[in-house]
Amino acid sequence: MSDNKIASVKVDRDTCIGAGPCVATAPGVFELDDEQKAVLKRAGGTKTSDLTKVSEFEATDADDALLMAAAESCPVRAISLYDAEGNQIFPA
Amino acid sequence: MERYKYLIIGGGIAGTTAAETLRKDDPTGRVAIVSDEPHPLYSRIMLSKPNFFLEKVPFDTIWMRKAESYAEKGIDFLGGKSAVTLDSKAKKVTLDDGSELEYEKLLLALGCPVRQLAVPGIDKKGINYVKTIEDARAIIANVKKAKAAVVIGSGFIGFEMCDMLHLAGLKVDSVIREKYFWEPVLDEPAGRILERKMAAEGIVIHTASEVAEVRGGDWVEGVTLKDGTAIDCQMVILAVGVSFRGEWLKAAGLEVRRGIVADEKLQTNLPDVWTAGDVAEFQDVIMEECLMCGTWINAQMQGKTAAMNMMGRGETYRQLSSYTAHGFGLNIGFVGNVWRGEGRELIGRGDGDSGKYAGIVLRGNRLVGAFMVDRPGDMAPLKRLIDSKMNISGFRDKLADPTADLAALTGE
Repeated sequence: MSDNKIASVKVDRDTCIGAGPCVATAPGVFELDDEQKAVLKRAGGTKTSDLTKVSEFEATDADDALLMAAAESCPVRAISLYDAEGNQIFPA
Repeated sequence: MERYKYLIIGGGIAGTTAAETLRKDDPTGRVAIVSDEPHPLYSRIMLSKPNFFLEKVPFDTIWMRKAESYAEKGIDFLGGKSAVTLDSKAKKVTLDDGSELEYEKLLLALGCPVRQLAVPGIDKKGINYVKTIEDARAIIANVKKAKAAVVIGSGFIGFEMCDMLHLAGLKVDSVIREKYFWEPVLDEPAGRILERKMAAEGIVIHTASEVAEVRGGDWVEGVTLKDGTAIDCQMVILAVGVSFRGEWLKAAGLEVRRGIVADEKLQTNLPDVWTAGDVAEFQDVIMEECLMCGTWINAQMQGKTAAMNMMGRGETYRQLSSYTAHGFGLNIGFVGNVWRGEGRELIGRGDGDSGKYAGIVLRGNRLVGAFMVDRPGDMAPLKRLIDSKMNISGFRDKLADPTADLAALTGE
């Protein structure tokens, strides 16, 4: 059992401006879609900005440090992180 | 005299990223950031976003580092100080408080100052540039009191400020020197789409106009244009671009044109001096020319590359720039270099009257830039065409055909 606290991630598409630092920080987790909005890469190839469990990610290296770094790098605070109970961890 | 292995002038995202990269990879080398602002890193991008100005998100959302996080990481943060002289032979920088700092490796990540508008009355209260957190605080306060605003300038900031002020319920007049909005970055069909959308929302756009005088007492009460038109307002936002002079750096022998000139590794003409971010006029290996780029991600990634190279890694900076602007329900995207001068050709994609239109800039048989108004789906394939330097001579007609699927051209 890992000691990672972040259980799910969401991108607010209305806020996202496609600046792309999340992709630079965690290219295995994020990419920009055709509308230049950040999406989360799920296992199986689907991509969404909606709330996604970390366990559903295609990437297996998405630990707390990486996800926090990606969320913190966003200059418009479009990325939200939640714990297993659904409490928002970031932005705090 | 303080001695630093790595001295960074500028506390924005370029300088901060560089400092953190250096600290991580060289834990023993002393690192300092000199910033003319006293604050830790904040998001300058938030400064043009309506959610921020209209206080739909907390003000503190703007902070991207805490004041204490520099010391925790082992970075000396020298805030509220400006560098005033450089001696590249003695490897020494003097600050405005008279202190001298010695460096082994120097990074100039100064950002680009806003261009100042010199007209009578411009120093009255209620008039703000959009650059710093102090500007933001003043604008937020002014928006609550003002009934009418004038926005001067028709670029990215001017457009987003008009949108914000309109959403806040103010009467907005836009005063632009150009003959259509966002000239010459957009072409006329694209600029007119913006103007129609803005006019439909009640924005009055004064094209080919300049401010002759700002009226009022202590506070602004209105502006008068050179053609005599008088506009009453209680606030003015200045969005007339950026202009870097860098006289103190020129005096030190640094090559400065519009920005600080650097090679593809972000090294300047002076030994052990690098540059990064908005102020860098660097050799872009995708565009194959020397360019400046004012985006957040460019500044962040250049900060990282410059830091790597200050540690002797010899990395080449390679990143295709793109950004989007939003306002009045429009999505406006930019990629690459849309400057149109000698040797460039512009292909219009679509009909401006339809409200959806792109302009694609060619140099010979390759794409070098594009702008898109409400055609967000064109961005990804155009990025691939530019980044791959593909020869497009076989499908020029497709570029002009708004129904042609660009993604199919790139084989994806």
